[in-house]
Amino acid sequence: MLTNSAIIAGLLLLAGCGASTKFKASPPPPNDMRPVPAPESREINLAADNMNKLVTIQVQRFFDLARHYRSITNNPRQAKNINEFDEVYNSSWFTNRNGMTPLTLEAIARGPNQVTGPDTLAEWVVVAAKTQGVTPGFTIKDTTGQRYVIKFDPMGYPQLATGAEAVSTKLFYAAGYNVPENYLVKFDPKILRVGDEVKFLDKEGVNRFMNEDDLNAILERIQKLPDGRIRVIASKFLSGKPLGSFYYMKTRKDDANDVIDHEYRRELRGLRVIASWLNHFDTKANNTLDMYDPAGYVKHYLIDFGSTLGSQGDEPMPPEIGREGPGDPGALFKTIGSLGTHQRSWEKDPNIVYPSIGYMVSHDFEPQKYKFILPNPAFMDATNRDGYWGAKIVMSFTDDQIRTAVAQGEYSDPEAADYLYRTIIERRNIIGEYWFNRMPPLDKFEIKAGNNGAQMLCFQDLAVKSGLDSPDSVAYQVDVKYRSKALVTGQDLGKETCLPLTELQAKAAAVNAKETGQPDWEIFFKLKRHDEEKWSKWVKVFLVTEDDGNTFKLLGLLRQE
Amino acid sequence: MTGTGAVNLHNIISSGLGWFSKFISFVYSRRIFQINKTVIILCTALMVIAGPLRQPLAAQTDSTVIYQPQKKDSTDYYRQKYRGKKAWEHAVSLPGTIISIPFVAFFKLQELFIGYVYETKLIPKVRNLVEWQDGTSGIVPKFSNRKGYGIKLYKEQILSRTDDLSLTVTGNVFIGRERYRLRWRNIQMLNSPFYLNMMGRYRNLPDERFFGIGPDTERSDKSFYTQENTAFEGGIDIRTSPSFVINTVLRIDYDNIYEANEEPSVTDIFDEETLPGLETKVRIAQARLGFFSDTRNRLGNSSAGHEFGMWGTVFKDITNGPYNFWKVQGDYRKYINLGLNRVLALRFGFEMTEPFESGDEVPFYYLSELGVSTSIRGYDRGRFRDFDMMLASVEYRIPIWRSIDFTAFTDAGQVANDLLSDFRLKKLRLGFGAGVRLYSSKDLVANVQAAFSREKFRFIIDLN
Repeated sequence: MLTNSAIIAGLLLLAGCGASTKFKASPPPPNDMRPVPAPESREINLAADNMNKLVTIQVQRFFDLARHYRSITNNPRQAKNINEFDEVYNSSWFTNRNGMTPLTLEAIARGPNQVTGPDTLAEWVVVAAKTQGVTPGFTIKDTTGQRYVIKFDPMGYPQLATGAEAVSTKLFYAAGYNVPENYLVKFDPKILRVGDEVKFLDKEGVNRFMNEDDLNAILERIQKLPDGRIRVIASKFLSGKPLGSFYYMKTRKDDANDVIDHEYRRELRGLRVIASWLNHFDTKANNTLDMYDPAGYVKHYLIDFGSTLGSQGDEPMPPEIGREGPGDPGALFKTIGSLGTHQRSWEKDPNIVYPSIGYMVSHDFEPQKYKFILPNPAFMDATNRDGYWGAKIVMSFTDDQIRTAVAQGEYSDPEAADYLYRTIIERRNIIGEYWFNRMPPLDKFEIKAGNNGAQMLCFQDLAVKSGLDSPDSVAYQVDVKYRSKALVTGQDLGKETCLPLTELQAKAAAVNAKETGQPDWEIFFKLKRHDEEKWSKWVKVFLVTEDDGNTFKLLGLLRQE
Repeated sequence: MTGTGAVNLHNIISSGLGWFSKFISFVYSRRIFQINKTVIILCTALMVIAGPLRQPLAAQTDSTVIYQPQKKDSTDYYRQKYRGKKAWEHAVSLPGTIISIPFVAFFKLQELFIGYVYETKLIPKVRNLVEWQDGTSGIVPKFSNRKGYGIKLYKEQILSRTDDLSLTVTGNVFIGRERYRLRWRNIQMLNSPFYLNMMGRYRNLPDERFFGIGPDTERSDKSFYTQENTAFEGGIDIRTSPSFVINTVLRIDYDNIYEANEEPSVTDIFDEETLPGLETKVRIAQARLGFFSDTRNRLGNSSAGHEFGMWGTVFKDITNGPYNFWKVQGDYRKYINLGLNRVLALRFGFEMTEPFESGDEVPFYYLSELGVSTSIRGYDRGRFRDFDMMLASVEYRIPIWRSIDFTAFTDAGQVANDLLSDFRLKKLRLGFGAGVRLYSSKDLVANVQAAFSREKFRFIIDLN
């Protein structure tokens, strides 16, 4: 009896250690774009990393009792690089773009590109070649001396991988990530010339210098356009010194700027939602790259989007990708236990409608169940707040922006392009519906002056803004605390998205409340859609009154997990 | 103990004291437990002691061990500040962390091993060593319960685009089982529909089992023998269409039966009179004529079509001995796609053996046989023998991942002296099981099955 009481008391005490709804105005993390000594280049051991993610980390997580405790008490470990408004600081990892301020259609179309790509009318010198594997690849140097990695489409699937890479590059860039400059170009193979002393492995397994016959043999295996040209992605070499991939966990010890464990970075946690949107299942470390920027700091890139949308690089995306992981115990149990009568969702609809798009559908897309190629530590630790952040970025893309991004894939079949456009939009909306139901999408809080000059606290309902909900289908409620004393409880705002603050001030004056060391005002907003019975989780907004006693200042917010 | 070592030990102790006292202070400050003030005073005293303890000791040694307070803007400071787990979480997780140490250590070692294999490119190196880049020659590992482990060296396209020369060596050194086979097949003759096949084989099987003859034998009657077999074979296939082959074979077998390594040995229980073929060195020539039809849509995981073969073979004792007999064999396999790549694989097979004349005999190891991985999978190898045999099998295959199927199967079969007159439904032997099969576009790569019958449970593993 005593033991049980002690355990309960202990748990209650520990709960006090964890959950906090207090306002914390912590200074931003140190600027990680300060010049630092160049770290050593490294190559990630793919096999060891796979083993680590599939087994070792899972064992460690299983025995992490504090994590289980946090899970039970709904107090998971939150991201560390967020500001008072639950947003990410700009850094060497991420730049707030479309999620913060909508990009123009021109900016979406331009993406990360600074130039126009390699000159397709001048000579390209092949300086490296990959002949093995399903799809060959080159590295070329153009007349300006700039190097590009040249990526092709798989045989029989024109525009598949190049289109996916072109479109996804624009969208990931607009979302805020660092990505390479990928140019979709068509060139005449006659402009290719084999450089001096280009080593390559021939089909007899001999490592020797490449010659023109070898080049022609490779070109024979590549899909060509009717006019004889070849459509490729020319991925410009990133500036600086390549340092190898980054892991989605811990820090890079020899990078003095890297102080936040990667699994606690919001942009990496939130990537889970954005990657699921674009069917970027292959988010393992090998598809990332750290560059020692000429400015003297390490910049972190996502690379290689050939395996996104409906493409798996060398073939269309297999239908099970994203829906089921290898050896998924639940799916195996259902399939075998039902003696095959249970149909997995991907089995019902395995057909490819457009070869240039590959396999990408939206009808059974479930963002929360999306399966990546490997367990990703940042994704595994992602909280509702991280998911909401990612969803907010996904939902920030308008139909026109998506259409512009899809147009960069230069699909020759307008129907195929339209299918991709519609599918991306449908997946976007599914993400919005899921996450905006899970977390109230009340955002962009600001203090405005009303018609009479009185101050109001206003917000945007992102579900209404994006058209997922109509303004008439939602209602808002507010609770207000002044210096920890309840001032207003359950005040119905109807569909109004502004709360007059002057009236609150009058009520506060009537309450004899002492300072608590916390912001004076805590205002809890909740949301209810007409088809729902319960009010949503709260979004708590912190305000203070300035020294003049009349002016409100917005300090930050906290979202209920 | 060296001076530096002693200093380090002191530092560890003093750091420990410091951290312990800090922990107690933390607990007290957060009111996690009610702590007696005496404890706090004691802890404070420890902190006071711990600090000076470290400084003079550090001062005694070289500069590398001098304690340096962390700078407020250092990378270490920020890493500490932004670390994921808080102090209380480490404390709560401590029991789990301790329990996990052996597991984590084990898997970390696996990571090192796998990482080493990957880093040194051991697998591609071995493949490059044993396989030509054009893929026409190389070495593949082999394993099966029956044949043991081994390798197959192959070279394709020597004389034509279709031929395949291979040397297969398998065995089990613990049992002494060994098999060597040199085979050159599918040699197309001058773009004609004629394909030449040749094969030479030597087998020494010291643990063959014999349970008696007939459908009613008991497993407890098991005895052992050693069989040595050398065979040479040549034949021509006539491919009249892509899916139809007429098959002709001429073959000579040299068989010797010896005492087994295991007890009881067949040679101790039977003699040539009671078990034909036991003592005599048997030399037999075979002539076979058959046809084979193959309409499967895919080779590795067929989901439609059939395989049907029927052969008649004449066996002639080349030493003018009594071993003159004939066999007729048939094997039909049908693949039915039930939708969504759920496949039903049906099989029906039979074998009939008959001496030519009344004085002729059939060596017991040439009798029809049931009870091996390709017949009733839940029984011992060679469990049932008689002149005739029939077999039926139903296998249900469900795709569970790319190139992997789950299978559930049931096998039924019976041996009989004369299948047409002696077949009895109640004497059917049944086996059941399930497994996983891994396939490529060209072939079945691996098969792992668990099979059981009323007599035993066994695992069947086949690789390549």
